[in-house]
Amino acid sequence: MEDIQKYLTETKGLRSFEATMLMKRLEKHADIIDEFRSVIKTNTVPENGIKSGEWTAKSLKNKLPQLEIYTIYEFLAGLRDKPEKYQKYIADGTPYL
Amino acid sequence: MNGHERIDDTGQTEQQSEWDNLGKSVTFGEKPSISAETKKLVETTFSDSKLDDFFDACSFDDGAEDSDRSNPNHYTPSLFLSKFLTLEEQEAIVEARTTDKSIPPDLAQKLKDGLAEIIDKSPVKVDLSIDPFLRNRHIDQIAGRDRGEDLSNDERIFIDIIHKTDQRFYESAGSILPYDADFIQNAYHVDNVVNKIVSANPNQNPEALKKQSIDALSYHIQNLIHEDDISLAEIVKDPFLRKRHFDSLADIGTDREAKINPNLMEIWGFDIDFEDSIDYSMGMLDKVEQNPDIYGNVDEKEINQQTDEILEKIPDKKLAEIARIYEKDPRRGDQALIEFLAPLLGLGFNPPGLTYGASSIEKEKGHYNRFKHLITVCEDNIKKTEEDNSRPILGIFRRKKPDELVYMRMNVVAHETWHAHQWAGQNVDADRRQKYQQNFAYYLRGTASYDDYCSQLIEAEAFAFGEKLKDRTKQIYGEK
Repeated sequence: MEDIQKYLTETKGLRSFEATMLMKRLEKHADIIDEFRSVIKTNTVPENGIKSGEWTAKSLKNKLPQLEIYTIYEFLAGLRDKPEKYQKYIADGTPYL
Repeated sequence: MNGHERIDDTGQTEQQSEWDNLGKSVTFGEKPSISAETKKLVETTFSDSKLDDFFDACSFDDGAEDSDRSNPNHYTPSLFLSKFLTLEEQEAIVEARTTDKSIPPDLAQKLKDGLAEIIDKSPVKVDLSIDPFLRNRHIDQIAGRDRGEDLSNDERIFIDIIHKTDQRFYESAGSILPYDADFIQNAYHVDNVVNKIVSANPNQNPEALKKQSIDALSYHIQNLIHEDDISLAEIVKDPFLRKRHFDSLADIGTDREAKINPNLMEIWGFDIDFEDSIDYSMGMLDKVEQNPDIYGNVDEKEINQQTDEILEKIPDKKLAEIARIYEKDPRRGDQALIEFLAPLLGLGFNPPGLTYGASSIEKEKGHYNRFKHLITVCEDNIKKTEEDNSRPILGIFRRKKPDELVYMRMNVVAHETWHAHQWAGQNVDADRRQKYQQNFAYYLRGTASYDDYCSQLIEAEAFAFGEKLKDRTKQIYGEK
């Protein structure tokens, strides 16, 4: 997990506590962590990656291009942990206000 | 971190307790009672007949509906009246005036009280003398100058009152104001601002006033940084800002860290990039864990109750009227919605300003700058989201509703106006105000977890209000 934490803080400029809070959301889902780690290394989002409901990282990125890649993976975890809430975020277009 | 000493950048020590009170002296617009002086001013200015004329001047249809309202600052007289009269009361007055009767005494009194309230109870005592934009905007709006109209005598009288109010604003300049921070941002003349505050308040203890002002300023400086209105490089260059900022960070940091290394401040130094060298994560995480009612587990029932209370005060007719303005001219719609919501949200005669532009955050659709008391609507980003939502999904094209942009925009403006309401702190009980303060000081940015960002109290409220207002409008049009 340290490699992801490092990516979030050093490459993406998140503050340390922000990275920690984000990691807490991902840590329960080993497959999500693995794919996210792979994406960080290859800089490529897989065409047929892991799914949360109907969504993959690729389809989420297509739907919500404004989201950072790490938020996409937060969404994949969130769609499993809090499906209604995250489905609503997607439907609303994830506004930042 | 109570009461211990720390070494500042001049090598001197100062009491930590000064920082324990950081931000506490910020006044959230508590209402004073209307002064006798103002009551007298309004009573003598507006005799019954003058009040009749004044109302007529405000309520007549100026015919500018389609021709002269491209100016986003265009002021609608009926919106002005709606600040302190209900629709029914306005209708009652109109009925009286159309039959050539004077305004009923109880409503005349309410109108006068409203005028006095404008003068005396402005929730954010903006120093209009500092901000030419706001001053001109207020006066132009009142005068109808942006409509190119000749002024009636009563409007001139009203402008005089505004000028007198200006003077009062000036006298109270600085000590609590978001505008102080704005002023500093432009000039960095901290001492000048503080001295001005002290000299403008000769009856108050100068030392206490100075401390209070500096505390308030420090509080705002943190937020300036948070809002990216000021760069770290600028802060490092300025000895005052530098000291205040880094000391403030020590507050955001933790007891734990401070105890592990009592020389933390020395190690930080003042010429390093704190983002790379300071880890205050535990402080923030502690705050989040210790305050679930602010972060992540907010009382939705209470939020619903609060937002519903406001929404219940909005007549369908008025919302439909604003939506129609949006359809004709979205920018004028934004202005009308802000003007309408401001009094309902305790912002009285000081609705937030409105501007348009790109956001520093690409995905941001709107923004409220508490220092400038200004809402920015990011039109391009709103349009972009609407386009994204209309993209084909799994080969099926979603129907693009013609009004979707209007609804989205109303949502954004209502959301941001709610933030202005939170900062003004009007009609908010002490407990909630304290929570706001806590959340303002320890705000979770949208750059990390989206759910953490949306679920913190101040955002959860604003999202709820914007969404509900949007849904209400849709219902009126039979869309939901």
